[in-house]
Amino acid sequence: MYSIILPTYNERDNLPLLVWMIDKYLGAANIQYEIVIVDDGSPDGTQEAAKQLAKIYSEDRILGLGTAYLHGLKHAKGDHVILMDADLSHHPKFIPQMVAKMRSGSFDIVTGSRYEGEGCGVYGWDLRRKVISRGANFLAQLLLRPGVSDLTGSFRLYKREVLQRLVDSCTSKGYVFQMEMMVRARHLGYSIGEVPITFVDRMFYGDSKLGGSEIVQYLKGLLTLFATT
Amino acid sequence: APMALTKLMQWLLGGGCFIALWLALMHDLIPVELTPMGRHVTNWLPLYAGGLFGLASALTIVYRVLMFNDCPEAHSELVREIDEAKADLAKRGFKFVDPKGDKKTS
Repeated sequence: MYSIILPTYNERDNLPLLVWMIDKYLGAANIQYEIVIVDDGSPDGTQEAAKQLAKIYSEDRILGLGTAYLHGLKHAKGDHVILMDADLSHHPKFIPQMVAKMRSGSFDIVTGSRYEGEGCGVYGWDLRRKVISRGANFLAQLLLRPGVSDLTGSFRLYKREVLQRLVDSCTSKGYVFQMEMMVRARHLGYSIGEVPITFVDRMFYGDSKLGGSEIVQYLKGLLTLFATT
Repeated sequence: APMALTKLMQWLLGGGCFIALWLALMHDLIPVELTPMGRHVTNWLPLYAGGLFGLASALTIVYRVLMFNDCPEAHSELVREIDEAKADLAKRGFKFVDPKGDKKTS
């Protein structure tokens, strides 16, 4: 069974749409799933939306929690776990592809890649964002040689025990946590497959999420990984 | 098995070897015949190597930015599915909150 853990903050509008799409695509592919919603105390009514969805789709399949990110793993019942963004930038249609990839290649982890593979891509990035993204990725590839094309991506399928082990051994947060997981996974000998994905950014918001302080955090995290792994 | 050396240590090791080789060349410790051009390049090798690397990196990044895959069809597909989802959820009894503040009727 596949547990989809969704960390949410103020996703009252996107959450029902995402759940609907997950049900559509995983239902069509006959994939048994549950959705674990981990809400960080959103003031906008995200938890009410989650309750409504649990009624519509069955409380066996939708679990709403109000605890911190990744404590959702304790409550997940599946033997595989999918982590993805809850703001519709990640499309559930790629989940069946990740499932198939994991089976065919016997991978421990399958990660979505925005940068490599037929059909990958990003919508909604301006030139500045593209340059920063390519520059950051180039630096990470050069320094860490991770064997994964999209190191900061957060749309991934894990075997449950693999994710548990990674969560227990990683210490960073945010972008850097995503990078650290991939680097540690390789060190621990786990195999990682990739599936090209499309990433639709800023569906409803106008502001870019990448400011100076995020870049500094990224560089600090990258250099820490460089020096310690 | 996990790597014994961190990436930083690998770079320091590689950099150390490069510098050792360069110093050996500079002090004529390596018996090799150099043309005047060869001599010049050797004297300035770190600078040339650094410059070449910087140029290659910049060109790689520019190329990758230009070749970046935009996917407008993913956006339009998403917009269509959002409409479909909203209609279907409303039919199943989901109550959306109108962002303008008024309650939506089902």
